[in-house]
Amino acid sequence: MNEMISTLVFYAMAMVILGTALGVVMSRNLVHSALLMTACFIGVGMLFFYLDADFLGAMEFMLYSGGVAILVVMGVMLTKRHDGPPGNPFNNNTILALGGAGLFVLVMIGVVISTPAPAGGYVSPDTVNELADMMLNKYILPFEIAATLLLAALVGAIILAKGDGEA
Amino acid sequence: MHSGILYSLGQSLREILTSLIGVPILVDLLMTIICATILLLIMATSALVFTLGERKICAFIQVRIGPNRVGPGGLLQSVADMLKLMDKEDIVPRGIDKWLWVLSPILLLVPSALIYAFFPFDDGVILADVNVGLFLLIAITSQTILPFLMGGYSSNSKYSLIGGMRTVAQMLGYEVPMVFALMGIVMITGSLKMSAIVEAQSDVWFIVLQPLAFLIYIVTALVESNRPPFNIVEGESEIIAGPFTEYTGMRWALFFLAEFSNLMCIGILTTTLFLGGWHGPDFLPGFCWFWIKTLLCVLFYQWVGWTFPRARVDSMLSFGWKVLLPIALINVLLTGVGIYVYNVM
Repeated sequence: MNEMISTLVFYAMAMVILGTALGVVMSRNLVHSALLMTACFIGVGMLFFYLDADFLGAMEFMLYSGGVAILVVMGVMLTKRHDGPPGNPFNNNTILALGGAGLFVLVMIGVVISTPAPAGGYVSPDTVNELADMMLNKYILPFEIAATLLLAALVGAIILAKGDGEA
Repeated sequence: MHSGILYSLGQSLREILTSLIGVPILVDLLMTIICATILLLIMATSALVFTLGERKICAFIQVRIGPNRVGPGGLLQSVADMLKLMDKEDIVPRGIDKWLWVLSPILLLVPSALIYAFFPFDDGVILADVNVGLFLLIAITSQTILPFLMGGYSSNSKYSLIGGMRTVAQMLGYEVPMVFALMGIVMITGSLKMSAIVEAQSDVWFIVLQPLAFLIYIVTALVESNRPPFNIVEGESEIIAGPFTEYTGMRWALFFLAEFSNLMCIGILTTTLFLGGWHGPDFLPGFCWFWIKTLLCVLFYQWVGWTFPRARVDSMLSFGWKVLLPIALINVLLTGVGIYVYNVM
């Protein structure tokens, strides 16, 4: 019975994720698309919780649906033109789109087949400590490089936003 | 393992249910539903009580009379207000983005209600004691920004939109110092689990060990929950009511229910993180101490709002980024050095 409920929960979440993701590309209103993307992020966060990856799930909530999505929504709202055509127009490149999507599906199938499924080994209940240990000991160099890159991007964004004259 | 009246009450309820139903997963489900119902009731009642405080105690502090007609000393005023709100006409303005407009107040309530699952009310009385409790709590709280923005945008009114934009600037800006301030607590506890954080305060409360973080938290909590003097999102003298300018009746009331729920949340969080949670002298059970501390915190937060004039937008944002954030970072550094010295000694 537990297994059945667990499967049901998984399919419910999958439906939410796929439904909102479809909504993002199908909606004719760009703001609605951006908001549906937030719902999709929340669904993906739920999936992490379902897989017992608490920290990654919380991270998904915090960074993607809490930070990234809000910036996207705000950008869309502020740059929307009320006199122009609807923000998310459909076009007629069906054949190209089908080709691209088919190629992507093929690549994904290849990836799924060639990746060995992890054996259901021991998973530590305390993911936070393990993650911290890995980030600050084993992978300290990539971690620091990423941090420096982000800092450079931050400074660059501030300089761009300030403009030439006042800097 | 755990002691306390609430915990043993829950245990006996679970035993009764198990003997009646037998299927463990159904018992779990039923227990969760019962707990969630109790929490929702507490949330709804708190709105009623806090509105009364907002009117009577505020009037007393500001040397006014306040409501004094309904019931003895105006005590039934909140009930009358509630009935009035339910009776109001539901006005849907033209030219709005209907779906977003309807969903905004409803979605706003979801994160406000959800975080009650992570509060330890007594020894062992916590609905979801997850590993990353504090982090998840902050992550869920940050979801309240989007409904505000939705309401502000979909109302198709300039005051609403400005209010929505202010929400984003204010909440994103103050979330960063808040997270860094709470980092000190996590460093001392060595865990993000809410029950572990309360457990670590059984001897010394964190208000003693982390005074700087406490001060930063008070300010950021007021900002995050839109309380005066930092309620620039709805600044009545500037932008009417911000994101909820175009809402009436029960839809408007939902915004206020969420606001009062958030007020209680910051009271509970202050209690849990800095004031020792349910710890207290033995003559009262743990949950009594918890609620006494929480209500005092809420009174304090309301008092601040009744006393100080509203802050200006620009000065508030630069204060968050240029003053609070560096102080919070220094606090993290000091805490790290302190823990190192303590461990060496």
